[in-house]
Amino acid sequence: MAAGGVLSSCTRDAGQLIPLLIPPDDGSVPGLAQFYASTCLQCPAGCGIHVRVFEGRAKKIEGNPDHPVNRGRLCARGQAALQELYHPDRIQQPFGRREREGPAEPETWASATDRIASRFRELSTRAAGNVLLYTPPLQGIRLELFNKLAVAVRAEHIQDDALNTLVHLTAAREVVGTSASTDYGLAEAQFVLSLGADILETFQSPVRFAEAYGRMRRDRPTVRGLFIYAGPRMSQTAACADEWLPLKPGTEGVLAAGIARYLIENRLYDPASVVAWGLDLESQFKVLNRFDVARVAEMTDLPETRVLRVSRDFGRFRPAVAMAGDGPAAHTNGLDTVQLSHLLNILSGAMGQEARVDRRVHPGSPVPSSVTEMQTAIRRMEQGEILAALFMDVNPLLTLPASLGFRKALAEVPFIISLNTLPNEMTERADIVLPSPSTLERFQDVYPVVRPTGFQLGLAQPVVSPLYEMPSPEDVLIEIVRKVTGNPRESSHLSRLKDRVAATVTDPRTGLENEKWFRALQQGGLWEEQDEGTLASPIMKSPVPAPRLPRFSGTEQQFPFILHLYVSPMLLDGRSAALPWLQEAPDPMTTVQWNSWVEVNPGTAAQLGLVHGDWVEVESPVASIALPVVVFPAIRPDVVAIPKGQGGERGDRYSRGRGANPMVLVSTETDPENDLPAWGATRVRLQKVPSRGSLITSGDPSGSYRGELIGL
Amino acid sequence: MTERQESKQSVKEMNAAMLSSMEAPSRGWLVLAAALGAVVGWGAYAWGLQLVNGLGVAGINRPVMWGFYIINFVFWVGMSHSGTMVSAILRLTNANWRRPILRGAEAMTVFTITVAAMFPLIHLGRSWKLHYFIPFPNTLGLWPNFRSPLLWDIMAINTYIIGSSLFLYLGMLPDLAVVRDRKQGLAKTIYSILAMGWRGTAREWRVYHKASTLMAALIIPVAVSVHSIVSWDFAMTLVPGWHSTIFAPYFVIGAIFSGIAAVVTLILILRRAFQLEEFLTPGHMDNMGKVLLVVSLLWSYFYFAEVLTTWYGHKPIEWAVFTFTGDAYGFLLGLMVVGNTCITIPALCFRRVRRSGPAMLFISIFVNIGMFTERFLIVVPPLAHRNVPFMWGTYAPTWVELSITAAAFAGFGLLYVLFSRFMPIVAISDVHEGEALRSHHRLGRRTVSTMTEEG
Amino acid sequence: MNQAESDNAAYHWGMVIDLDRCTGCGACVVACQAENNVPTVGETLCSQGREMQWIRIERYWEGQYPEVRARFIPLLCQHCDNAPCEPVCPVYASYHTSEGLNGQVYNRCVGTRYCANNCPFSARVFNFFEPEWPEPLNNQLSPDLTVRSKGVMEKCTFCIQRIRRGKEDAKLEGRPVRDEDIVPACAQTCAPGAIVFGNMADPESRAFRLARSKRRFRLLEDLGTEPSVIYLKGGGREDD
Repeated sequence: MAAGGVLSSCTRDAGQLIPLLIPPDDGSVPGLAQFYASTCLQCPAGCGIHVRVFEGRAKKIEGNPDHPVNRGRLCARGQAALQELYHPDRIQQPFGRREREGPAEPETWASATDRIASRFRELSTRAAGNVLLYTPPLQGIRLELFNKLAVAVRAEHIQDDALNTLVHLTAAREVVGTSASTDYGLAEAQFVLSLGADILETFQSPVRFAEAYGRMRRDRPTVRGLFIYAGPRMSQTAACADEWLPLKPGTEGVLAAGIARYLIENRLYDPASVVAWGLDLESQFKVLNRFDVARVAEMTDLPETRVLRVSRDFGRFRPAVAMAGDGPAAHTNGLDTVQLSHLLNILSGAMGQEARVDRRVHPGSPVPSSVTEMQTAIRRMEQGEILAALFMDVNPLLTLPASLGFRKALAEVPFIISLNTLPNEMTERADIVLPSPSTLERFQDVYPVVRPTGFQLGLAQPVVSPLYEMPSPEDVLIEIVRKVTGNPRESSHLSRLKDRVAATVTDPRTGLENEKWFRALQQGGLWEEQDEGTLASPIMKSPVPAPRLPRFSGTEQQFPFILHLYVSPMLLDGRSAALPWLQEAPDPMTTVQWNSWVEVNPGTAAQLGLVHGDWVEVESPVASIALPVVVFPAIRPDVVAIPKGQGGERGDRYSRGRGANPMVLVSTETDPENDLPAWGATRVRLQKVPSRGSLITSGDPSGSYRGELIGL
Repeated sequence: MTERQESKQSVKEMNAAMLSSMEAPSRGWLVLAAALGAVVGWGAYAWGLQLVNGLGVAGINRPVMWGFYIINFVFWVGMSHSGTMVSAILRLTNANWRRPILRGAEAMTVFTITVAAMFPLIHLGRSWKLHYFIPFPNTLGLWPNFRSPLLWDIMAINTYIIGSSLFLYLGMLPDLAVVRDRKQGLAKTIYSILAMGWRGTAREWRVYHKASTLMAALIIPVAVSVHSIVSWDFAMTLVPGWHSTIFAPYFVIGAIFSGIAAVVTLILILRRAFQLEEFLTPGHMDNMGKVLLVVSLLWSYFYFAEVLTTWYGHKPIEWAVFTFTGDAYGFLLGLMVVGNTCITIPALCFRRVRRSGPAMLFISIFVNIGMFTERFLIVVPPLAHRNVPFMWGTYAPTWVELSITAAAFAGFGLLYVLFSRFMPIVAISDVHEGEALRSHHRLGRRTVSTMTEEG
Repeated sequence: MNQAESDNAAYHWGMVIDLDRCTGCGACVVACQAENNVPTVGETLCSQGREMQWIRIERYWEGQYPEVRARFIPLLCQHCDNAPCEPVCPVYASYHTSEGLNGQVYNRCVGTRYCANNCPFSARVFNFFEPEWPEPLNNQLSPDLTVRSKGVMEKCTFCIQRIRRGKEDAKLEGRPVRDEDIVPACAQTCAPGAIVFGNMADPESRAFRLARSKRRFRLLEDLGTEPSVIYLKGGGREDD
């Protein structure tokens, strides 16, 4: 009786109640939460996740404790992936536009893929290279499918390296012979030197590194690992360091060279490692000979005592690990810096131990496009040679330096297809917009950028029934390939995925193929417990060249400040800007919310008459933007810093029209010898302008200096 | 030598003069009442908006969770000390010049405390859950928390409202009887009920006097306790700048200060509005001025003691609050000190100032501006700069808070205007009593008044 | 519940936050928002100081360039044993549980905001408006706890729903709650493992042992609020 009364008073449709007797086929049990293992796709780190699902809805994302990459931990961005799934502005069905920038009209999947396939077929029969495929660096099945499509339609494939991994891959290839990222075993280290590597926020595999960092600091009863950070701006990572060395931008390599020279000169290297890697000390010393302490101090603008101390400590503590990050890699001498960081690890004996380079040839190894390839593609677009372009999961209008001319070139492409989960600059301009399921609604094979030993592959899987009916991008590609080639026998995404799983190295403890698939589903991937052992035959190219001096666009007289761009810890390069949790989470260093800003040293600010919240025009040799000022006490006086990530003009409701995109300021300097981008080599000047809005910080600007009041 | 003179006016004429405000409403009265009503309506609209949308329409934030509503609350409670305190003290000390102003002051108390009592309600995040404050037996066994100064506050305010209303009503009984006798029809019935059958017998007068004196004696501790408790809303907390032992007496003095200033303002307005110059003479102003001077000195002394202790102790967080007050609200700080001390004390030392209507009006209004500012400076800066500096902030009221504040003043005015229309605004019987005790003597060519002390 | 009684209780929940591990990344902030149905309020309300996050990372600057340091400290409700927010609440919406938690009864709260004023840590947040989750974002809301309405005070609960679940699970399995069975969302996600939650009444718990560190301190200890959150001082080189 009572229950009947309660039920009849319930205004909800009975159709939304879950019957207990005949449970729904998605396995949900009323009142019970289920956990699905999957892989986070918010950045290339590929952390393992558990998604808590309650009555068919995803409630929370947590780290997978068994996953070797992140060991149960997860960053803010990974947890916010839920908001991508349930984003109110998600693209729910295909759209077509009759004219550029015109109104979007709903289309069926069949007609959209038909139009794409027929256009591709028509163009590819005319000539090769009429079609451009534009994606982030791909791995696994996605790479396979794009290769297939590229062959079928004789297309050019650009893998846009927005997070700038190419420099690191090249440096690893140059020094130790493999294009792979290095896994830094920080937990065992006693001394860690970061050359602008923001390992605790955005660099490569931040959760993995941060987890290890915690253990490095406090998991050993008698040892507390030391952490030194060298870079022109104190990043969140630098703030955790025991010492911050504010050196001149682009001279991180000089410091590394100085330390290497000091180690060799004072015989503070690890002889076994030097022998094992075949490092020719004599020629290496000769190459670095001019980088004595005094000269390094002068070039880096650091006190000699500091240079001496960090050199001595790097030789004194074992294990000592050095790593170079995105900041230094974005200079014209970026490759030198990363290479020299590897040299330091060889000298300290960490290379192959605490600094592990995965030397297996991996099916998923990404191959980002080089600068020349990018520039050529853009030039061809501009000249009207590209007649159709397909963009997937990219937003080059936001992440490429505007001076590359992508915007103008894009206007010359007559047929644009954009595949994305959320609306952005590209989907707003595309002639055909194809939605893709969110990262929690689809399968994907994932190869983490930093791969722990024994790691086979990560598996992303759907954790809820799709919010909107749509095929995965892989299936869309397969459909297009089928239609282009007229071959209906292309196998489906899922069967390819099962094949991939089956093809992984078999754990001797398990036997059946199918069991492997279920294990992959259960764990969110496959990995082996046992260590593969150290590398049999280390090789290196010796000697590592001396660092060149960085070049900058713009003269010091006209443009007195070097522009330091960094990837936003919350929004990355803008790919997470649509998620309100991340927009509202204060930036760790400035505590700014919902905005972007320019960081200025207090002394510089005083000279220019700027206070916190004033607006300035930041002008580079190529463009200018207006931003509010954060007076930032931990940045060099000759440097100003701007985070990437904001400045989207056409996207979803949470990121649209917020802040400014600093990539428009970047002039396209490169490292021509190595065909690498140098998008951190621009000078700027500041000009105070009238206020255009308020700057929101979660922390009170004056109170932020009064930590002594709470005993800090 | 001396010759007792007959009172110049007959009793009837005096009554007519004193009850003139109860005649048919003038056009001016209607316009005034309508204007005040409109402002109150606007404030009600603002409050409605706040109820529907949430307290976010006000300027309060984290860390400043209390703002204009609490400032208003303290201010209006302070004003309410005027009436009853003044009237009670004057009654008990047999100050004869009190008589014409008693009613006005007592009514003021009732209306200001009514306005004040609105503010905690407006201030609540969920005003519709007000009954949670009431200790009533319920199946859940839930009681309000008697440890909370806010609950003490509610008790004290309620006591004060009841006490001061009784005080006002008791004093009005003989006058209501006078009104009853002058009215016809329905009005007569209503006033008959209100007058509770007052006939003016000797016994009634004896009881009446006893009761008045008793009420006067009782209401003073209530008044003191009310404002002490209001101060404890602040002083009982850990908030640097609030947590101070001096707060209770400081608040009581502050309340009396603003209350007396308000009475002065009111007297000057009433005198003008109802042509009571004859009853409210410069002599009265002089006396009130002296009282105001003393209270101003006391207030300044308390403020000095409070600031000196903070400055000398220089406790980091308290000093941070202090410097913040100076930096962010320097103007208000100046306004407060000028209004409450720098102008008031020197000016009131002069007899000519005390006896001048315009000067007293200016000073009394300025004192209350200063006291409103003082309440702002007590409530806001300590909240804005609490213990954790990362969460420091600022506060400014929004139009909603300002509208409701304006409505509070208008509402008070409206209540007063209505009261003066329907109730005897001058304490008729008290004045008669005074008149009875006063005699005019001719001394040479001049006529002087003398007063017989009440026994 | 007085001190003596709570000393006898089987559980006294507490938290240890190692500032030497904390990297200030803000993962805990988002974890808490996801776990506890904490709304985002948008740019305008943020500018008015109306954020709802239950845990925040405070960043303090010390010194001047180039000898400048930034210090992070995660700040959440400290679940004081002698909590100043509790006695001032006129309706007992803020109260002390027998397990040392600082409870907040949303249904009882009338929104005097007195507790928030009296919290020296500014740990309490107030629903200035009705929280909003544009469809279909509301699908994310956890059914384990309510969505608070306008006019109500809220704050960190030490993930009380997880505490309850942990205790219920233990009861079903007929065993006592094991150490680190119960992990609040912030501690669970914290990459460097800076946050450790546990039963301070159990001398064998990890939290209890960590809390005895020489580096221990509690925020604003001189106020005598007896916080249940214990911080471990951040490092720094000995030779600095």
